[in-house]
Amino acid sequence: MTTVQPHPTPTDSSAPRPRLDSLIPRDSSILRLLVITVVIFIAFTLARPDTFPTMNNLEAMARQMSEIGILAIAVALTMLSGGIDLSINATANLTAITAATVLTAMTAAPDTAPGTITLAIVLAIAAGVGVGFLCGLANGFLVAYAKIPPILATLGTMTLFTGIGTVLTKGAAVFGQARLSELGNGGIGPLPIPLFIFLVAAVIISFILSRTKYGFDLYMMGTNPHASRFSGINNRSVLLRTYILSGILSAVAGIIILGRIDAARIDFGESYVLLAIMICVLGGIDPSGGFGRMTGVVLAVVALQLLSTGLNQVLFEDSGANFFRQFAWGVTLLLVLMLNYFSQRQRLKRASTEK
Amino acid sequence: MKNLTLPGAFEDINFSLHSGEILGITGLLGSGRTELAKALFGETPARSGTIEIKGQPARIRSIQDAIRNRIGYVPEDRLTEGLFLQRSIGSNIVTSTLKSLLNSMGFIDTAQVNNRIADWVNNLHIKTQNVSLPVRSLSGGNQQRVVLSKWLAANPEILILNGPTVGVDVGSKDELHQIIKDLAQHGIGIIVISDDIPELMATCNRIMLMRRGRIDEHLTTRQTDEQALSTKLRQLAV
Repeated sequence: MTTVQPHPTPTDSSAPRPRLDSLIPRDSSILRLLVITVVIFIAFTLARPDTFPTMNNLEAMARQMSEIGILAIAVALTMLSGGIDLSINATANLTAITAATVLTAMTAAPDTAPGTITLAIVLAIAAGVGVGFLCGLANGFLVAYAKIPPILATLGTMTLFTGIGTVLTKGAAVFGQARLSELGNGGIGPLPIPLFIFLVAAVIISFILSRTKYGFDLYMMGTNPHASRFSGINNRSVLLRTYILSGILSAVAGIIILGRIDAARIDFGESYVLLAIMICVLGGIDPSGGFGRMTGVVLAVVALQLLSTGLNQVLFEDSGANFFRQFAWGVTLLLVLMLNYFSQRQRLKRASTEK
Repeated sequence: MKNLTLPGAFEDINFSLHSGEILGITGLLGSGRTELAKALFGETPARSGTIEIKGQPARIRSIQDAIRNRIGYVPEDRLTEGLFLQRSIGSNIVTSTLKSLLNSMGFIDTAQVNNRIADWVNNLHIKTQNVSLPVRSLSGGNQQRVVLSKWLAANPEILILNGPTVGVDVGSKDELHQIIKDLAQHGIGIIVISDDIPELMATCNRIMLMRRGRIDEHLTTRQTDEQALSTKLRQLAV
């Protein structure tokens, strides 16, 4: 046996060497999700050829799925860390209220100078993102330093943020003076701006996860927080950064919502939290942490949006459409979870027979 | 190490470790040996006392401090503390040293990461066809090599091994002992914590017996034999 060196001599590069495909393992569930998405699209195209695959409908769907998609990315990050963020929607609404308040205060007069309007828009967005940062910081502190289980910590802050928003607005809507309408309803060519923001966010987060030390540490900590601690990973700082990132993404979603409907209300989109969690799980993010990719989340968002719009069109005459939509989402979620479970069991069985 | 104390775990521990030396620490479970190791690694820092490395006082208040002082720790419980079982062999090897594998932009340099991994897999003879397989797919001995290489990659001056061959088969055990001795020969100071008396006799230069948080006796392996050591260990129980 050759002796072991504390500093290995570099291996001969011409020799065959083990390959590391990627630090993040690829996942067969993503391919499955892609197939499901395509099948859903084809099914509704066949069922409603005149209304479903039209440019108008595609654009409407793209707009609707962007804000929920960004919220789902926020939840996905916290899920990768082994936690969850229930306060995403409260953060988004608080952000929207803040931005709308700034816009109203600075540009409510009809003769506002264009320079002031530009300044107000910049300030409103900055203040909104600032609020998101602070909300994330609060969550991160409670989870990383006070060691409160994330589901309880963010349930608490969700209620707190909603409470702050309610006090500030007395429960009423605040209007954005149509200053952000272009952001919510405009487009770059055929591409709606919200969709563009959603895709850029997904690409950036995906890059952070696969190519930065923070991303690597997040996956490792989510897999086994004890081992990551013993490996010298600073779990607290990873958690803190994760919740801050989640807060900032929620703020971006909040600003898009304000742009799209030109109003901010603290109780807007209450179903978004559970929907975002469902998208994550559907997209292959492991709720116990450490596994999952952004590609899966994006595909899950698209799949659910196709399903919901498609069902609305197919059951247009039927007053029970909304009821049936939730039913269909639930069935899809459980079906995909079961498929993943069985394929994983199959894989484990294969692995153990190979040995 | 001077007068190292953590109330409730250990008291007044004094010892020194030379570079290239293998120091054994043994004692019954609960004698404070693991607590001492965790204190040296900054996991649960000692309440009082000083640690000097190469004559300089070292402040070790966290695991990050310990790593900065070039201390590595192979934990007792490999499966929960040492390894990320579901993650790839490669990821496990680079976890503690990723900082040194970033490019000038601060992003992970994939080519360099792959080289680092391949180097360690070859160096420690980790038997696998593909380093992207999860660590779980390896045998106990090979898993322990992955934990070792994770720390060796960090270029340590002090390596603390807590139960280095627990749950490892006999053949691999001898190979791991050989690896430990090789590393000491290259100047790393090594602390082996173990109840395995033949293991201590085979690897260590000196052995400390701990009892109720204190050092009961210092021995050199030349002065003693397995028989005498196991008698002493048994006497500690009473």
